[in-house]
Amino acid sequence: MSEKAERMSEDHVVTKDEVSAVYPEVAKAIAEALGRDADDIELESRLVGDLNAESIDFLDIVFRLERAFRIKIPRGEIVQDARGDLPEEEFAVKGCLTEVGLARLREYLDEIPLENFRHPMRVSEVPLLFTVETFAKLVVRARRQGAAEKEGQDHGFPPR
Amino acid sequence: MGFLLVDRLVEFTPGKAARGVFAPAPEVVAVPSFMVAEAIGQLAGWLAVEKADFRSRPVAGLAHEVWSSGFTAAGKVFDLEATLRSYSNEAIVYEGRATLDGVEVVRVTNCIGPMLPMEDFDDPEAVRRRFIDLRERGEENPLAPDTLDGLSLVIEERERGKRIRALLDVPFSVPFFADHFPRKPVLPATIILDYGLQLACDATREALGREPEARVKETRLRSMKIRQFTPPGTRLELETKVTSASSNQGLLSFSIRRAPQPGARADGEGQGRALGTARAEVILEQAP
Repeated sequence: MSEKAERMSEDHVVTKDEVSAVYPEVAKAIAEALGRDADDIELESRLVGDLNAESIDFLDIVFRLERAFRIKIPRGEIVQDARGDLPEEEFAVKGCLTEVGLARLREYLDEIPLENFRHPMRVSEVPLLFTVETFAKLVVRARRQGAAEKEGQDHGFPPR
Repeated sequence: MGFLLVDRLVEFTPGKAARGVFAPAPEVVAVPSFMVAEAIGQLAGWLAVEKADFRSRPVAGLAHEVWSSGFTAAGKVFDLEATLRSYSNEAIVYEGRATLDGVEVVRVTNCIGPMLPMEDFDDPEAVRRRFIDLRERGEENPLAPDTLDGLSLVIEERERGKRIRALLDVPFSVPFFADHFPRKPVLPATIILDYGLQLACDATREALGREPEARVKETRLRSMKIRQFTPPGTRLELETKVTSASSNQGLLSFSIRRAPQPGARADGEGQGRALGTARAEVILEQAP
């Protein structure tokens, strides 16, 4: 693992307890967005493969999570976050993840079984990997980010 | 006969807010509420398109709520307002409203429009010129009374007071496809939703035991989602189900599915997932 990848993982580790804390509300938002019963949703459910989510559903889910948790989730946040401080050209070339980019993504999406990552893999295929847990972790990170920004503002620092 | 419903841009604060005018032809006796909602969406679309430097454009996707009063508007001009709440390469979030003589008649809240490449839909330079015209002098191509001619909604099944199922055949050629969109003709989602709202109003009247001409006081469509485009030649199945009805109010669910073409096997595309869904609230005027 590269030094950059190690740095990225330190910032982005999300514990099981953190996921459990937000999971009920995340599952509710996903169930409502997809018009499903809450019982259909499990932490490991794949949004596309298991729950038949389409691209418009991703927008819907993110919007519902933003409202439910009063957070801001920038569009494309998961891929951007996974890339971290890695230069764009080292992360993906012509829309395909590089070896380093794929390693970053595997580490960032550590809730997803390794066999689900294809190689080569297009950046546009990354959402096919997302599970309910991916969104729970997204919420945890967005809440952290929000709290950090608030703390920075309270101490007179500009937001990151 | 056009389907570009913003006839003039009155105020334009790039990337933030706009005011415009929607002036249907005087012969249009009844302007469907969703046609007004479409005009608000098109106004927000100009904000997004200008911000994207005409390289991408929003399309209908999600709306948290579309509220409408039971207005009549023959010969009147709608004043439109739209505010862009957020913008990204992927989608915009906007809200807006329309007023008639200063009174709010349609309001859209938390609408999300996915952004797609402009070149797939229209000539970017032609759109840029149209934008300049709208700001400088406005267009003279008002909504005409025969805009929806060629579309027909046929009731297929009716359980009085419980549900109504209907078929909508989309012709291969109608004049508004020239505007919506020049390079990719599709039926505007707002037209489908307007038919759905008509069914919801009918089902509410039946559920409440009211006469067919009972006037609608206000309507709300909530959690509206459109998943796919509807190209020419599509047969759609629209279904509304009454969830509850009491006093003057009906709560309903609404779904749109692709129906099998006449002669096709019944287990074809029509059995698939809904391409559009919404929840509806219909409030009727008090019975006399």
